[in-house]
Amino acid sequence: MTRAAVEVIQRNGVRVVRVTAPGPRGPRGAGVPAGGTLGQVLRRAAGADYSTVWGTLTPGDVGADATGTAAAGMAAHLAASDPHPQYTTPAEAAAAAPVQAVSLAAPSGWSTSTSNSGGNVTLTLALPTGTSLVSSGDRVAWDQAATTALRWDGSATGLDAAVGRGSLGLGTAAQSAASDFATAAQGALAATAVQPAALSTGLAGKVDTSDSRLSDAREWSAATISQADAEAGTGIDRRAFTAQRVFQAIASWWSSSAAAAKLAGIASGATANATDAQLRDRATHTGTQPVSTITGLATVATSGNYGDLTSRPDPVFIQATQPTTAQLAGATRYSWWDTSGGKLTLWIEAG
Amino acid sequence: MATALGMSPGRYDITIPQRATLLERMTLPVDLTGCTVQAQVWNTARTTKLLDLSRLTTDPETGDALNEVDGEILLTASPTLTAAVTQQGVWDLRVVYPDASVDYWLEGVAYLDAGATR
Repeated sequence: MTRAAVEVIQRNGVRVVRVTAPGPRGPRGAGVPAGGTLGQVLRRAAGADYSTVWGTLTPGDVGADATGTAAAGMAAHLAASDPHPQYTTPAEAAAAAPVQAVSLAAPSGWSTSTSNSGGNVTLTLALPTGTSLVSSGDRVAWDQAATTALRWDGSATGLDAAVGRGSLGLGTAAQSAASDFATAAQGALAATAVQPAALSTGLAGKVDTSDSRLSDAREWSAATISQADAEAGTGIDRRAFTAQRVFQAIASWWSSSAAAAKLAGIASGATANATDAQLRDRATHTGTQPVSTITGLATVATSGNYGDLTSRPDPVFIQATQPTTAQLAGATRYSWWDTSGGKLTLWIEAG
Repeated sequence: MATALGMSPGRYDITIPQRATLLERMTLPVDLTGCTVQAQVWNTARTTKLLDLSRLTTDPETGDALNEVDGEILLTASPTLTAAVTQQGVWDLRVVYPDASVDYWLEGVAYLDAGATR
């Protein structure tokens, strides 16, 4: 049983252990025959497989002439006197091709090359790299460009200012007088002037004296508001108010106002022609009022009797004589004194 | 122990760098799609397991995904795990195929490089 093969390799600079599984062992080979000498090669000996033999290669084995054949031919050729009949002599060549040398002087940057194919000599003159011959169309264009250039630099007439301006993408300002434009000083003033955007912000919502709305009657000629809208007071469209509509609007508001409700609570004919202080001062009240019209008065107010008093104090009689029964009506205690017998006696008794 | 191809595992010794990350790249001549790859280190007497090597699916150095079809395997063990290994042992690499057949592709000694700096 064979082991799996293991080898350590470097893959992209990283060490990797590569495990391989060799296939099954094949049959034993036939090998090569023993023997042979140095320089010999193994060659097939017979038609059967694995029939080999050691042998020495010959020139014939590789399709070469026998040793010395080529050298002998060369020696014979060198030994033959000139001219060799199989070669063209200089005279024959001159007669056949009178032009022996051709040269071509190329301008700087141009290149030349020569090729000779069977006596057909081709001289090639090449333009510098990146250049080409001018076409007839290009020449016409160049002539036109030259003429145009002459017109531009003043060497020729015919330059149309408007056409030239259009070609350059310039506006009509290019043909305007210098006085048509602001000077540098004026430009500086413009640069520091209040810009429209700032004016728009600063004047937003403001009306100047020339505002048409100040004199335009249409601003005040809106349709007259209806009574219902005037009374409702909720419309948002511009409407004209007549005096009547104003009154109706106020009357509508008044009818439901707290002030109207307050006034409605004042009796007809009520007077309030004096200050509150004056109205509340009883000294300003005149005339008499019968007691019978006054409620809440105690009985004693009209009877005048002591017995009608509530929380009345006990009557105390301090006198020189004993009080009578009538005098003591309602009393709980009384006192009196006498001086009879030449002495002062103070009496305090219950009633 | 033999592979499904009738071969015994290839011999390959590894070195465990104690307290460092163990990385072993290898390729097997099989498509590992759906396979389970296991690698363990046991003591020489094979009575105590010393280390379980993990199989990565992405190469941490290149960020490239490993090619399972081409049998690429990257085994690793963290410094914490290698620090726990205190003796050399033996290891092997086992592949369990989707059909439940099993191959041991590699086996060898797991040497311990104790290092110096702690």
